[in-house]
Amino acid sequence: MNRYVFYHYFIVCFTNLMLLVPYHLISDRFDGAVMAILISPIVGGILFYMLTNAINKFPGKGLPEIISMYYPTWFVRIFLVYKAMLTGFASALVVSSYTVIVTRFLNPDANPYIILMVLMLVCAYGATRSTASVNFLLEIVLIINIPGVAFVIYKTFTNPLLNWDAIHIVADHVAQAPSLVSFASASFVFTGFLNLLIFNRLLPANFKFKFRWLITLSAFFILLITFFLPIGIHGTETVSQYLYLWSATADSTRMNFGFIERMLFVFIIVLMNNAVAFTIVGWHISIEYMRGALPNNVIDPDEPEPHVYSYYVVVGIVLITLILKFLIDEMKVLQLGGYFLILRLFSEAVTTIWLFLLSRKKVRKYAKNDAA
Amino acid sequence: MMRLSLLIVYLSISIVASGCGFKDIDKRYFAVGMGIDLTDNEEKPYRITLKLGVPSIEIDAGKSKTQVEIIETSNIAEGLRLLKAQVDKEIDFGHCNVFILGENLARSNIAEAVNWMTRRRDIQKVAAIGIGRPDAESVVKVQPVIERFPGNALGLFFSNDATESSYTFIELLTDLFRRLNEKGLDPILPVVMVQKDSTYIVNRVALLDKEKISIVLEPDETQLLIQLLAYLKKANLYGGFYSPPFAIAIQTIRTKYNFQQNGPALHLNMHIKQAITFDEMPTDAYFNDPKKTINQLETAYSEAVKQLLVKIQEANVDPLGFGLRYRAKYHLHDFEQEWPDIYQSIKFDVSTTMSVHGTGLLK
Repeated sequence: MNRYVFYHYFIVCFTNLMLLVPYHLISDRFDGAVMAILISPIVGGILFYMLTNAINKFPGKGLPEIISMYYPTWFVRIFLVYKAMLTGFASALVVSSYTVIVTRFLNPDANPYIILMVLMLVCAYGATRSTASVNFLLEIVLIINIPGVAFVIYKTFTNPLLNWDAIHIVADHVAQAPSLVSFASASFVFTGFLNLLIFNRLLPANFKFKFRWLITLSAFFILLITFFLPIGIHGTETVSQYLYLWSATADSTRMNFGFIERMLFVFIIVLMNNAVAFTIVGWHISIEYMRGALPNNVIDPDEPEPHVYSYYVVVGIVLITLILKFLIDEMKVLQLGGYFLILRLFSEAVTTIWLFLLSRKKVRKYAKNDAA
Repeated sequence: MMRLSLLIVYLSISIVASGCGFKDIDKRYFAVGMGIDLTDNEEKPYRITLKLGVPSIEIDAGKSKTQVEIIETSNIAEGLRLLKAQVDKEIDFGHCNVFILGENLARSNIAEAVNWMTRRRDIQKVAAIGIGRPDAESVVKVQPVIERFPGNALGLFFSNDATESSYTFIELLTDLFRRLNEKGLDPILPVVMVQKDSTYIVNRVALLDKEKISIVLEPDETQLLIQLLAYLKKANLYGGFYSPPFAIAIQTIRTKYNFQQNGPALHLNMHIKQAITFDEMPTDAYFNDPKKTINQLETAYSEAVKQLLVKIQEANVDPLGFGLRYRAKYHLHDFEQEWPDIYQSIKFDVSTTMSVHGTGLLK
């Protein structure tokens, strides 16, 4: 079962590395991004250990159940609605920036709203399935995708255009103190474990987390690669001029003997799979939080038919995403993304520490008997 | 019921989605070469030459058909829009892997043209860029007699699939765009010339001072520069070196350099390691005195490289990225202010080590 922890960790890692995170990190490449990359796995790793230790004390329980063991219903509702919006917004950002990339590269004449709508319908269908189905779906998508991600990274790594001097120059700026937004975006990569707040429902009673250090370490290496490879390919100055950095980087590799000349298209398919899986998982979590806030909810991680609440919530999410897309243009998505990352960093850190405190023995005896 | 209705909604949306942007392949023109020239007309400074591939059933040498469209325009994007009014099919750049910039343009400013190419989503970042001599139009217009696919001949020059010449420098759009902006790395572009109206010669490179040509190297210097830039090419062909009475072929080459501060003078120590075979030499020359022969060759090669480096330094361009290496090693407060003086003061020390792989079939 440990592999599911790995999947949840890496879907967040891969998706964000390709979409939002590089933009903020690369903008700050001379102003603390390197330091942010070095600190974030430490902070992310500590939070990872805290959260996994905490939920180990509550076997088979998700965040809604744990919180309602301690606090009155009105508070639980407000808290869960807030969490649901936070998670839903992350997925909305991913799906809308991905829509922009698809329209830009695959079919610039298409109506982006229709493409967004089609993508969201797929995601909505996936997200309303049971927790166990979503878990298996994630496994399948990642097993199909990891070779693709590895291929893109390998081809870029062996590209003769890679210039180590440029990488060296940026790495030399390690002593700069990181800005908040670069730290927030770097640490976003290490927050995939937060999916466990819902998916803990599927983990068996005396589950032992293994290889947590290895997961953090490999995410750290992936972060290093995705930050430094584009700098090596595009140079220290040009790298900040690209809006979709990894799309441009994937397009810079020649594949003489591939079926297709441009690696860009391989990359876009991999990215699409990742983004859709990420959105499905994100929305599923969002749905589960919202359902926890609604009265008379039944919790069943392996329900045969989705509860009718799931459909209500997902329609709400889709509508909100569409309205956001109408209101916000491309530039704003990136800016808002920055603020969102900071907000998310703080509230997730607070949630994790809070849960950790709740899981202490001294605190646990205050739990309500009826909920436990 | 729920599932069925979802399915119906989904299908109806995908029908709508597929209809709008897609154009069939027989309703498209694939651009197979593009040239951008500078005209004397100030209102319409750009002349765009577009070579469009005409789809044909027969694939045979000399059977390739192309259509060339030329337009003068105030800016490139506008020109393409005007060009669309001259052709009956949608123009697609997805397969265009050679772009030629006219020498006039390259002598004034290439930044705008390169920016336009990078910004456009359907132009590959791995497309090859060259300078057309005397202008891009005459290069793009050429219809080689032996060409099999439309526009294929020039594309093959700039790939390692077919001809691999040690005189042809391949510059890709990504690299050119990087070099345009990078501090301490200047653009290089191959110069394409037309021979007898039917084929090309690509054996020179132009070194650009960021946006315009500073110096055009001769073929033998070009080959030497490409050997030094070997890390850029995945080729297994590095050409050779001629120092009478010896002609050698270089099998592998590795170049290393570092800066060394000797008192007031900044030295650049370049060390070149080569494995060579002999193409031409007097019989027994190597067998009688291998050490002397090798020494003589090593000195000659080092001397040639040094001359080239000094020539490039005098032209005040930096295609090898010395500035970038300097930035990686020393911190400069204001690179653009300080580097030109530092660069001009550099003394080059070049040493070469050659190891002989063989002398061919003769002694």
